Amino acid sequence: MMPDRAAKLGLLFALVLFMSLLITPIVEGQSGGQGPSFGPDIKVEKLEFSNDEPLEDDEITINATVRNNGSVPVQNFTLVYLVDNMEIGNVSGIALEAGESNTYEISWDAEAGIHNVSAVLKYNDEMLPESSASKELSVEPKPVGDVSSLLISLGVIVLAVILTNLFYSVFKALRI
Amino acid sequence: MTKVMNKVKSDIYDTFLSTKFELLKHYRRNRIQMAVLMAIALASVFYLIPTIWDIGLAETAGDFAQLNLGFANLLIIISGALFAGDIISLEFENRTGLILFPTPQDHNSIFVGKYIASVVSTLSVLTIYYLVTALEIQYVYGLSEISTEFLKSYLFSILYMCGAVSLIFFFSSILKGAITSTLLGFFSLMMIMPITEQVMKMVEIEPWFIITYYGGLITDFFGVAQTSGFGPGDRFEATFAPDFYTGLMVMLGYTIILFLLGLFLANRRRGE
Repeated sequence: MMPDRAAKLGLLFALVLFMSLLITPIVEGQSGGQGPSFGPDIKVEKLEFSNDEPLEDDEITINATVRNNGSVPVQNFTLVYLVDNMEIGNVSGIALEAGESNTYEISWDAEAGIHNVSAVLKYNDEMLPESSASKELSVEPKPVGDVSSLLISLGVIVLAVILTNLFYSVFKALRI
Repeated sequence: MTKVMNKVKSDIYDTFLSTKFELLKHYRRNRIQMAVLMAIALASVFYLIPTIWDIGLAETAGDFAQLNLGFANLLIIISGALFAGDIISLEFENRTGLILFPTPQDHNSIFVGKYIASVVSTLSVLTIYYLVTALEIQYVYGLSEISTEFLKSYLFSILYMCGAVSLIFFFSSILKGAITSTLLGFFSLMMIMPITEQVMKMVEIEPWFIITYYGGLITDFFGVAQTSGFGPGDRFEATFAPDFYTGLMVMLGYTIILFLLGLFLANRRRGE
């Protein structure tokens, strides 16, 4: 009798354990844990520059590849480009099928310094920070002036001093 | 034709003699020595102090040069005032012109020689300043770090120096007192022009025609930017940045026009 009762209890325990294992993921999913998400999964996958070593005032193209990793199509997303957290432009009306990706570009006149360039998605005027990608870009200052202009200018000064002396001498010699 | 050629040859020789004489005068008055010492001290201070106190030098050669050559303006103004401030006015004040002008040497050659001597003296001081800085860069960062930007900065500072010397030479030609002309030349470049420049910036007018506006370009070659000359700056936000090519034109204008005006006025005063 006793072993039979123990076997029943064991079976009941196993059943409770099995049920609890089965239920746990669902409960966790509902309470915002690590369970599967059913919202759109869209993000900026890659951020690239047409020139990685630009000079000041160079026009560079910033390419941002956006991928829809979700299982449903998405639409009406806006891609915002930021340089040092300041918006420099955007692409609106982004629509992508499930699993599809597309590259969007924007031009920017580079300013000297080290900048943090990022692209972030916006939906219903709300930024989606988790969708963003960022990259650092170092822009060298544009070289100021050139050696030949400086040498020519110095030559003009030397010539002006010599010619002044020369003209004065000739003028005086002719007058005498 | 031979007469003209002889006159030209004689005037060139006279100019050479006058330049040599003025350079000797600067040397005998210990002015050249003083200015050279000042140039070496100014150029060394940015290497010696951080080394002695072990606070570390600038990270790059460009930053070091920018810091060091930031005083090139000051050196040009002081040397210019020292060598050109009384170059004409002193002859009238001390009446030494009464001995100098009756000589057979052409007066114009005397004045041109005086101007050349001022330029050569100031240029020597400036060159020593750049040489010491270049040696420091070579020692700390290596020879390869002496860039084209360094050469550009040197050439531009020569142009700036020519403009400054011409301005001081002009004051020396129009004023009677040696101290007055030296001080006016010094303070116009050190204070009057930078203050005018700042006031003009405040009322949003670009002071493109003021020589000191381009002084900051001497160090702007090394990267960072938008400083404008020596003086009481940094109090107001700079809304304008000096343009290199406009700067060249302004330097040329100051140098040539003020040199010719100074020469004309000195020649006219000689007759007084």
